[in-house]
Amino acid sequence: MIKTKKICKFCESSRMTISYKKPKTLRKFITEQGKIIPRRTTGTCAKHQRKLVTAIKRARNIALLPYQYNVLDE
Amino acid sequence: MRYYETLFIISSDYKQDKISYLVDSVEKQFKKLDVNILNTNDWGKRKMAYRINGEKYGNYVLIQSETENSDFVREIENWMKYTEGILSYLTVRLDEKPVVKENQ
Repeated sequence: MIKTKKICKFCESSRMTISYKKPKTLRKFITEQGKIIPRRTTGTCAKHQRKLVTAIKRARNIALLPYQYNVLDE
Repeated sequence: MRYYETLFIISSDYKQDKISYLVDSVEKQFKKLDVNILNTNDWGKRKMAYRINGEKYGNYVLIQSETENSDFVREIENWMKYTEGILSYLTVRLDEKPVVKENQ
């Protein structure tokens, strides 16, 4: 199987910016349970992954993103 | 000069006039601490990702400011903690000066 190299989505287009105020963008980088997806899966570069992690944690703090999606609640 | 951004949530039980009254008192508190407010942005009522004090919805308000008071963050967060109607708050330092929008 030939692996295709993943490109960091934030390096690719300058329009995509990382901010804790944009939960819709951050939502793509967390799992259904609410965990942060490792960069080996998403292909994000180290620099952007660091920023992404702080942004997700800030968003969780102010209730824009959940700490975990509760299956029983829904 | 340092630039900050404060995002806080007001209880959904509060009506529009009570919200603007609370935002006014927050701005007054900012001025008391020698902080210059650049932008105030009301996001309106939103569904929160999880319940805070048993409430599902909250009104988000964002305030961008500049100051030289280094104790500002500690003092404003301490004040917000003991203010009724504020469910949650977050203050973040900005790297650059935010763009000042007029007519707000």
